[in-house]
Amino acid sequence: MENIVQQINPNTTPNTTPNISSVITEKNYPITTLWIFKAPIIIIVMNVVALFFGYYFPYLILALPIMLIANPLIRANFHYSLDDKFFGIKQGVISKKHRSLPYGVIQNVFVKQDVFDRIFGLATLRVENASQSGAGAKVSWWKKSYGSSSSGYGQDDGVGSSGNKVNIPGLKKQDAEELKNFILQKIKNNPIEDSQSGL
Amino acid sequence: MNISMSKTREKFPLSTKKVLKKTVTGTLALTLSLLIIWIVIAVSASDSSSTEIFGLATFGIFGLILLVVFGTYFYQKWYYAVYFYDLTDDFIIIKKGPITPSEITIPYERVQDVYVDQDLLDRLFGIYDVHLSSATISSGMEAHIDGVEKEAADGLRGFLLQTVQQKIGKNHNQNVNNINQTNQ
Repeated sequence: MENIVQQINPNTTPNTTPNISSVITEKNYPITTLWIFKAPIIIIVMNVVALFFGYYFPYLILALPIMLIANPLIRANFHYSLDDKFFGIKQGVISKKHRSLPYGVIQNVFVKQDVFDRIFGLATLRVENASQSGAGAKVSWWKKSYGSSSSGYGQDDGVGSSGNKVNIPGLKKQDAEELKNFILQKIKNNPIEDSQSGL
Repeated sequence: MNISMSKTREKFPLSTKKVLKKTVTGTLALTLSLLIIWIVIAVSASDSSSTEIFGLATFGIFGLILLVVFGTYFYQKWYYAVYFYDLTDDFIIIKKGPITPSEITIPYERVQDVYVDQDLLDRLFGIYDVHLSSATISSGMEAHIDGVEKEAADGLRGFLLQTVQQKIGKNHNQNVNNINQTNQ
């Protein structure tokens, strides 16, 4: 029994350099606690700036306590695992979602930082595949534009999988880089068989 | 300013004309509209004797234009310096954005599309944009190398197409072998 547990999760100590044969989970590269306060801090800063001009955003202030309750729950219920064949994501506070991506279908890997991330040394890791459940389908009719320009781009920056993307926000910059390298290594070790489908 | 170099950028350098071109495209609309406002003020001020207001407006408008142009110029110079692209053995890495960096990594096997294009100002300056994308929309938005000269553009395109071809071919042969082995 102990062996199995060890096989499933041999890397219990955080911040060790990843071993290719082991399974990486959110315990190794966690979403930082600072991420919980990211949106509240931005709202407070916006309001403080607005107050200089004699104005404030009442609805955003109403959202503050909701965020402070919801974000820790979202963070606690978000799990990812990088095993031999699949990139697995488990998420959801009330409605649960478990998604598995084969490494072969990953189309591209992003590391992004916005201004807040830049100041506090965080980064968002984003993995995309070519499924149509996201980009195409989720564009509302009032946002639809002709041509392939910007439809569905940059719409959702939430946590975990939505559409064709998987976002892991609030990682430390260095953790994001290591995780990215690890995923790239996995992509390299699991070459795709067909140039189109990736399956 | 330190220029973020990679082997690929040494081989296929980014043109310095890119900074000029971006400065022109970034400020042209504002400059023109400010000039039109200035002309309107000039015409209306010529009727009355309010030369003082006209002088103030001229000073303000041209000062603003200078400020915007120089600001854009230095921002674009910074952007140019941190523009990073590298074609490694397995992946294409493109990183840009001085304040909010975003880095995209694409495996060669996933590249769907490589093309070179020029818009009007690119033609005036004689520079090219090399676009490549995988099957996602955001890669089409993010993965392009803007502002290289003709030689570098052709070189990049050739190199990309060749590597993609090789990678797909290699995997294909491997799989054919695998299938043959399992069949035997």
